[in-house]
Amino acid sequence: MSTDEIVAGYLDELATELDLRGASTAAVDDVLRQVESHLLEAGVDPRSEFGSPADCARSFLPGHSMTRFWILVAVSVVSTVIGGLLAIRGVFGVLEDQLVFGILPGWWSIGVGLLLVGSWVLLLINESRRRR
Amino acid sequence: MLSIVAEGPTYGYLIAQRLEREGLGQIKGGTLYPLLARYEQEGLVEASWQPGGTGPGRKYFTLTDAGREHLTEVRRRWAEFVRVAGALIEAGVNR
Repeated sequence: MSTDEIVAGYLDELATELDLRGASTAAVDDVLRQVESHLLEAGVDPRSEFGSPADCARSFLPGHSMTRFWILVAVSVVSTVIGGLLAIRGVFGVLEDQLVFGILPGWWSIGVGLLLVGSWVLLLINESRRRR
Repeated sequence: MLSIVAEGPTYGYLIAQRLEREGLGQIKGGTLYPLLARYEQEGLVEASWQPGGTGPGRKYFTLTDAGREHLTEVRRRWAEFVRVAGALIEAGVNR
């Protein structure tokens, strides 16, 4: 693997780590440019100079933890799985004229399910806007 | 580092080279740049990107007025530390 490829690979991993920590596009770009500029000029190995991409991201953005990312993942999983399940079971509930899980009328189940999935979509849009 | 930036606009790699040349050892990029980023966030330095020889250009740092005040205060405290430590060491030698 050539030096250019090693640097490019390192910058890719660093961009991912910064992104996962919720850094804005401008902040990610600024850090990547500084690291690339230094590596090109010094001609050194990225990992020996800046540590692992995760360590590097942590040192540049000490206040940005992965907590927000994992909360987003957890909320996404819960919203889509439960929301999708409620919506689908709601459709069958309406078609078969039965309560979903023995308590929810079909239309209610569809509504709550779609509300959860919709909230998840809004959350993603908001997160995307926040990072610009 | 602030003393080096106080001499005029400079960028990370040059600062690292200067520190090494002055005998302070090799400062890794992973130590240097986050510190510069912190100085920038605290308003002690301001930065601007300028084209370099190759690649993405160079981020030049300049000391701000707040940075100059901070540096003056750090120098005063350092001089005081050296004076006290020197006096203690001298007292130990002369005992």
